[in-house]
Amino acid sequence: MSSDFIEPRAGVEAELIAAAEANAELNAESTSRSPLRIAMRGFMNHRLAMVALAFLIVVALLAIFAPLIAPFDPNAVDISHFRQPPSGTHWLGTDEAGRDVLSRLLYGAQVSLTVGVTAALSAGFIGLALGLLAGFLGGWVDATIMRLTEVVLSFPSLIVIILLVAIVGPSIGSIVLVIALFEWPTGCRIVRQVTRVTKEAGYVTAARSVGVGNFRLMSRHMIGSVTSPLTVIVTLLSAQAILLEAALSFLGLGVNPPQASWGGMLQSAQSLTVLSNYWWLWLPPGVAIGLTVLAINFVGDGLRDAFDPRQEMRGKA
Amino acid sequence: MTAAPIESGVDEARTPLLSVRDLTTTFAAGRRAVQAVRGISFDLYPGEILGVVGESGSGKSVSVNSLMNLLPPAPITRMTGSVLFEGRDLITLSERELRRVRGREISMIFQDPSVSLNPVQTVGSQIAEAIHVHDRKVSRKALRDRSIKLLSMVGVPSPAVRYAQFPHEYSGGMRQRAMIAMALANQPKVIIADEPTTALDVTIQAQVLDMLKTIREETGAATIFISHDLGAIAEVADRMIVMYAGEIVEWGDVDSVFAHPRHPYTLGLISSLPRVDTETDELVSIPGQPPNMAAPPSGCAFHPRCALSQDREPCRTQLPALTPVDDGRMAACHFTGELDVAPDRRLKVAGPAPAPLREAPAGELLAVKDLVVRFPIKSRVIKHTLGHVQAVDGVDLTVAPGESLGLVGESGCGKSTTGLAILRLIESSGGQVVLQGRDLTNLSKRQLQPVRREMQIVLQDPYTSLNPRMTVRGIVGEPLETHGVGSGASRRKRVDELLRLVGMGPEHADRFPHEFSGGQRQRIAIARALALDPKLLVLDEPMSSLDVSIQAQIVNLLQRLQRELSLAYLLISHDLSVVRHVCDRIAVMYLGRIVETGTTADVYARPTHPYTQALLSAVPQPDPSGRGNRQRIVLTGDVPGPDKPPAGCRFHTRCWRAQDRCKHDSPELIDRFGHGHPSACHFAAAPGEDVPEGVDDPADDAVSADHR
Repeated sequence: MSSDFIEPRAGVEAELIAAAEANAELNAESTSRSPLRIAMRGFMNHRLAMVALAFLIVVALLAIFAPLIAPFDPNAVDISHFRQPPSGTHWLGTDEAGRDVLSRLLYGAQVSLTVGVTAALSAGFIGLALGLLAGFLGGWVDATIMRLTEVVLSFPSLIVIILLVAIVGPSIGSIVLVIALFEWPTGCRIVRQVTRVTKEAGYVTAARSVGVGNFRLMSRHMIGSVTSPLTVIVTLLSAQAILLEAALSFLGLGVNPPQASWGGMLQSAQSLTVLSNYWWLWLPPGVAIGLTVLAINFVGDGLRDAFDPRQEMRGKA
Repeated sequence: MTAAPIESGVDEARTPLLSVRDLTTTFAAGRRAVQAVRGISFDLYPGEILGVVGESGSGKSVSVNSLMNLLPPAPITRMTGSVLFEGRDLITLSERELRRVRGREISMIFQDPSVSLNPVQTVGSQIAEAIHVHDRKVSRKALRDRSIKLLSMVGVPSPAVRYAQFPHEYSGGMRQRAMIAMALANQPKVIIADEPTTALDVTIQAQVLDMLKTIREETGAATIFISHDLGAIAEVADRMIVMYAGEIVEWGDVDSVFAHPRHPYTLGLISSLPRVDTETDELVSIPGQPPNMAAPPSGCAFHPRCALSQDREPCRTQLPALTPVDDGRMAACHFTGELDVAPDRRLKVAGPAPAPLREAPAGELLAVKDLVVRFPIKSRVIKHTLGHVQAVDGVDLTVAPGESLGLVGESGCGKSTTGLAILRLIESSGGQVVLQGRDLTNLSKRQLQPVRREMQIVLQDPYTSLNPRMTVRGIVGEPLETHGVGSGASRRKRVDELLRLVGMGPEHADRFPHEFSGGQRQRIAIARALALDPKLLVLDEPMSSLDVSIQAQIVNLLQRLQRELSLAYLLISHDLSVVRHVCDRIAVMYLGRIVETGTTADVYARPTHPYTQALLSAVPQPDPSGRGNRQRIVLTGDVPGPDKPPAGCRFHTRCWRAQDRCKHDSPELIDRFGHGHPSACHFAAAPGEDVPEGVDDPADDAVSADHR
């Protein structure tokens, strides 16, 4: 049983349990355990998140080793075998150009995961930098950055992204860039919020009284408290980025054909005939997108629980 | 643990109102179970105030929450035993039946009134609701009338106006009164007050404690008063229970428990308290830490910290039963008989001999001149300044090398702000801070850097003052790193040395803060402050978030460090007893100004400012024997907000000596008696002495003061 079924009800007992538990853990193990390792352990106890993580690892491995695993060249056109239902040779059938759906699915995973991870990381990085500055420096820096996040958040992002991609031209790089440019405000706001709280924390006051400079305050004392919420955000953002990429590809603004991507494969489902008669053309990429996004969200939830802020206050009665 | 019914030493004829037998409460924590309450039995009689005292984790709050079944439901919480209340066992009642008991027959007052009231409902409607849920037939008008009556009963001024106000319009003390009014709404038979005064200032605490006594007299309700503060217990309770590690270790009437503790833990608690009314030698702290309830010690849970046990066999293996000692008292100790030998109520523990008195400090290390700190109040929309909160308004202080100055006052008086402004962690708006002859107020950040080595701060809350993601070595070594002192190896050595200096060891250096208890964390924070060999430490309430027994350890540590390193302290505290014990001189602050200052001995013996007098008399003393004849000055009203301080003498709104002159003429802080002990009052006089120079006898004007 994981310990997360205890929801805090009245403060006293929750704290008491937490304190006792923390002490017990301390006594049980003589080695020192950093907050990070405690969070790791909390995460490992989160069964759903672990299953989801395992799934994601498998998807990632399949994507990385696609060239070795894929039974066919994903772009090999075979006019004589188009739209064939799943069979022994083509496990997931073939598409309208006779390309093997399974192979395209595996190669498509490369695109989806790359875009998801890099776009979310870039968004997280922008958010971290701007959020730290805004929260720590305050004043006009804060005001400017916050107005900027509001402007970005108030754009109908998909439409602007479509416009930008149309201008820049579709490629993995441009999609990542554009998604990152529209997704950083979420992280930025969280980072700013946490930074503002941390700025008032006793240990920051203590560090200032020692004469620790601003850069070190940010890099040493602030980043630590910011990383846990940011990790959660970046995880969830990567799910969003995967969805956005799929949406763009579905609209024909994704990676250049014939390169396979999950959203691009869904494009064929725009036709009603395909939708009703050739399920193997749209169901596998659809399920892949759905499961991947769901798994990422589960992992995000697991991380959130593991990084629970209550943990930092453990032992306080 | 005892199964035997408890014989009441108070009144055999009366039947108990509430009877607790063998109550245990166990929490499931993951795969483990933590027994927070380990078989307690006690009786509550009608009309009595029963004090429950214990440190954090002693199970005092959990046990009373168990009485009302307010804990998370099974399977998280398991309770056994019985709680008999008027023939019903509260443990076995259904949630529905319990709801009828709660609030109507047994009601609770919680610790923090600022979170216990709903901020979006008027206080009046919340009181009315408390009546309404138990009696649907009351008309709206009657509800209103009764609520207003309750408010006036708990001493809320102009209750009809206050009825329609929201909690944020109430001050902290007023909110606690409103909470008490809610608890009284249905004329309960039992009131459970869980640390009701812990979040309040001393002068407000005195009001609330008084009120608890008045309520008992007026309503005849029995009260269970839970507190970690022995002084508060001694002040109000009739009988008391001392809890340790989820068990009752001592039980008896307050007078005899304080006069002759029969359990070494009780004795330890009493001896570890500094006193506001007398000089105390070195505090006798209880060694060690409160037990870990997930793995409590075998036998008597107190034996690892007990000086009496001396590791004797029964203490280690056998749980002592709560057995009657003399005159209806009970104690759970194998060797309770041996406790009588210490006639001075102190258990002598072999330790270092007290150091000789220090030489009187001379010279000037720190001089604060006319310090002013103003915070702008900004409008929300366009950021223009509407006005200023004058947090610190012309404060003068001096600290000599090796001296300790206590800066005392209630919350919001600006004492912490003063401390932070001295360290330039907050920018001051005027005045000077001179350290070793150098004015710090205009130094640039770079120029300030070497000065930072000379003065350091220890903050109040050791749970937030250490970065949870850094190891102890990183934390203590950070000042060394920042100032480029030494290299890797010498820094390591220095950190080990510092840890040893504060009573910890190098083996702790690679651990993280969350692995330590509050007292240990405060030691780490002190080690960090000492890293650069400062001359001055600003101690911002360093003991106030610690348990009593741990507080004594930290006080002793600070005193030892002062002797060994000839440090100067600026101790910022609301605890007058600790200040008396630690400090050479004291400055009393009220609303941003110093109202009285002098040597500790002088000010405590002959306070001349009415505020100092009120403050001193409001401190609850852990000595019930004197409570009948002690003169208490209970101030009326609350501290005005620092954004709109009263004109003239800032204290005049609460002062019983105030006259017309005080309303516009601000008194200066001058030595009015030639005692070297200035006070800022036009009518300054020590208690029992006349106001000098042809001023009317203040006793005639004692209208708002409540002398008893």
